[in-house]
Amino acid sequence: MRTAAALRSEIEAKLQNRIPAALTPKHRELQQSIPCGISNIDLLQAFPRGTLVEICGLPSTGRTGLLHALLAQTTSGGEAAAVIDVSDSFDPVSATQSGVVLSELLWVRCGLLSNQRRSLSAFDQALRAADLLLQSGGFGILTLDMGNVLTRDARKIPLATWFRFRRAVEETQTLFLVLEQEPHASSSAAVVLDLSQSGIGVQETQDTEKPQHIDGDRLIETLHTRAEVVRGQARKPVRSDRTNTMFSTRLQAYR
Amino acid sequence: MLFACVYVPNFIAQAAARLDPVVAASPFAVVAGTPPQVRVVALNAKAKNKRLWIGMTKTEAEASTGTQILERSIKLEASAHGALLDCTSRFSPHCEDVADDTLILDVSELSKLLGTPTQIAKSIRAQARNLSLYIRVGIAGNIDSAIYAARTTKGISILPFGKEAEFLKDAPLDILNLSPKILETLTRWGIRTFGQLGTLPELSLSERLGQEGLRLQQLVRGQSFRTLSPTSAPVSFEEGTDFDYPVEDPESLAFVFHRLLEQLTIRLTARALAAGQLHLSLELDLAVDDVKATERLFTRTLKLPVPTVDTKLLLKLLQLDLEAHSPGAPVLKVALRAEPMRPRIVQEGIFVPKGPEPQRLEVTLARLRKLVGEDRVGSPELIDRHLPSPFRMVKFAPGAQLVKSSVASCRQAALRIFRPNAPARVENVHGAPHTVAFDGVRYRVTQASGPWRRSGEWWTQDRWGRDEWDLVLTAQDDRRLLVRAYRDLLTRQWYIDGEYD
Repeated sequence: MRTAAALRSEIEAKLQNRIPAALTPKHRELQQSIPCGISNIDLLQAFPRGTLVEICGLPSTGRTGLLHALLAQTTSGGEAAAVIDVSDSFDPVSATQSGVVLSELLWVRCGLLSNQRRSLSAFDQALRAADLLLQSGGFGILTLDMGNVLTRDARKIPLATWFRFRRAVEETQTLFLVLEQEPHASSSAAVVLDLSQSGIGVQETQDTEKPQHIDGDRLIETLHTRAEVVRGQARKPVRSDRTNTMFSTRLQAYR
Repeated sequence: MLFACVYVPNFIAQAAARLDPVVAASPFAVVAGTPPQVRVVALNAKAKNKRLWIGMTKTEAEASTGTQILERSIKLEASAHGALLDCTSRFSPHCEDVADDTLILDVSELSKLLGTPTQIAKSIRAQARNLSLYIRVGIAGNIDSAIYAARTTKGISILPFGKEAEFLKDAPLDILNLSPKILETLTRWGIRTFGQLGTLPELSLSERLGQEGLRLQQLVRGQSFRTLSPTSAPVSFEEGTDFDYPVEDPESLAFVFHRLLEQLTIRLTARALAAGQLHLSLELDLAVDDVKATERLFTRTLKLPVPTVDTKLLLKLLQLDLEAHSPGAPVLKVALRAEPMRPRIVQEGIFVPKGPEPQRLEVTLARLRKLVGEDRVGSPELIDRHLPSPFRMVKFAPGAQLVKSSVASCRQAALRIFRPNAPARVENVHGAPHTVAFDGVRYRVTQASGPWRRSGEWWTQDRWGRDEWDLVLTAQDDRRLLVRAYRDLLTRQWYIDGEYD
C-alpha cells in the first residue's frame, strides 16, 4: 500500500513538466518588518511588508499611538501612507506631534451622507476604499481604522473579503494594517497584535489629601500598554507560545 | 530648397464632419447665411452624387431625403485648421500659414529622416488621417509651384526641379486666383491652362496685361522666387461639437469625450506636448422641465498630477468628475480645451521609496471622492488659527514637498476625536467631575486632571471657549477609558472631545 508521501511524490513527478512542485506549498520569502520606533515592539518584527496585520484592543489601549508611530516612521522616510477612517476619528494634530508627515498621508474620511444618492454606510465605504487603494498600490502602509466600530458590525465582513485583501498585498511593499477591537481576519492575517491597558501613570503635583479640587493638582502622564502577539505566521506557521511586551505612550504634549 | 504644400480640399465640409464619423459617412450639406438667404456652401461627394449643388437654398437641400444639413461653424473650422497646423509642425518648424486650407512647409532637410519626397508626403498624409483630415500634398522647388501642384493633384504630386512648367501645363487658370478682369481677358483669348499662358510671347503679354501679366507667366512657368515666411500662430488645443438634439444622459457623452480627447492627444503628441489641465465647457438646454442647473454654461477644470496624453485616463477622470458634479440639464454643446505642458520625464532613484503611480492615483482619488465626498479625501494640513482642531483638507500629492525627518523621540499617546463631539452628563463633586455619562454608559471618574482653559476666535463670529479635563473613566465592568472632556464656556454644556489611545 502506498503512503500519502509516496503518492504525492508520484503525482509531482508526473506533473513536473507542466506544474513544477504541484503539491508542495510555495515557500514565501518574508519581507522586512516596518519599524515603529518603539524598541520593545520592533523586537517582535510584527509588521512585515506584503502582509495583513491586525492591531486589536479596546479603547485607550494604545492602538492609535502605535499606528501613529508606524505612520511617522513610514512618512518621514518619504513613503506614502493611507488611513481609511471608518468613524472619522483621526486627529492630525496628535499625528503631527508623533512625527507623521501629513503631506505624505492620504486620509479617507468615511461616513458623511450629505448626498442622498450615496446610500452606502461608512463601513461599506471603507471596504470599497480599501479595495480601491489596494488596487492603486504604491503605499507603504494602508490602514483600515475600525477602532470605534462595534464588534458585532465588524463580524459582518465576510472571510472572502479578508482573503481578497491579503491576496492584494501579497508580494507588494504595502503593509495592510487593520485597527479593531477584536481580530476578524482569521487566517488571512499574518500577525495579530493584541493590546491591553496595563496602567495609567498620574503625577500628583499638589497635596491631594484635601477633598477640594485644585486646578492642576495632578497630571495624567502616561498610558501603559501590554502587547501580545496572538498570531504570528510571519515567524512560524503555528505558534503556541505567545510573545509579550510592554510599552508606554505619553500625554505630556497635550498639557 | 524643397517645399511641401499641404492642401485640404473641400475644407468647410471636412471641418464640419471631422469629429463625427457617422455624419461624414452619409451625404451632408453645410449651410450658412442669414434667413431667408441660407444657402449651401459646401457638400461632400455623396451629397454631390444626389445632385445637390453649392449655392442652392437650405429649403431645397432639405428636400433631398437622407441628406444631413449642418450649420457652418467657424469654431469647427478653426479647430480643423489648428489640427492641420499641429500635423505639419510634427514635420517641420518652418511652416507658413497661407490660408485656412493651405500650409507650406520647408522639407529640405527631411530626406535624411523620412526618405524620398514621396515618402515624406505619405508620412504627412498618414498623420493628417489620424486627425481625420484628408489632404493633398504637392512638393516642388518653389513655393508657388508646390501650391499649384497640391491643388491640381488628387493625392501626392512631386514636381522635379526645373520641370515645374512641364508638369503643370494642364493645370486650369482658376487656381491662380486671378482678378475677374484678367481672367475674362484670358478666357476671351482662349487661354485656359498654365501651358497656354506660359507659351505666350512676353513682350506682347506685357503690352496687354502689364507687369501683372509677366508675373503670372513666371508663376505658370515655375519661376517663382517667393521666400517662406514662417508663422508662429498661438497654439490652442480645443475641440468641440454641437448636438442636433439635447443629450440628457451624461453617460452617453463618453463617446463624444473619447473622440474629442483622441483628437486632442494626437495634436498634443504632434507637438511633443501633454495635457496639464483639461477644461470642459458644456452648453446646457434650460428650456426643459425639471432642470436643476441655473447657468447656461457649465464648466469644469481637471488639474492633472502630471502632464499626460493618456486618452483612457483623461476619459475616466472626466467621467468620474461628471458623475460627482452633474450638469443638471440636457447638453447642447461640448467643448474640451487642453492646457499644453511639457511632458514630465523623471528618473526614479534607486533608494527612493516607490510611491503611487500619479496617473493611477488620480483615478483612484476621483473614485474615492465619488465614494465618500469631495472634501473628505486628501491630506490634512495644519493651519495657523486658533481653532479647537486647526486643520484643513488639501489635495493628496505625495512627494511634492521636501520631507523633513522629525520623528518624535518620546512616543506620544494619540487622540481619537469624536466627530461630532459626544454630549455628556457630568456630575461635579468639589469642583471636579465625579461621574460622566455618554453614549448611554455611565462611568465613574477615577482620575481627573484639569481644567485647562482654551479659547479662540473671540474676535470673530466663530468664537469658542472651553474648560478641558483629562479624565480616567471606569465603567461598571472595570474597563478604563482615558478621555478628553470639556465644558463649553458659551453653552455650559459638557462634551467628550475624544479618547486617548
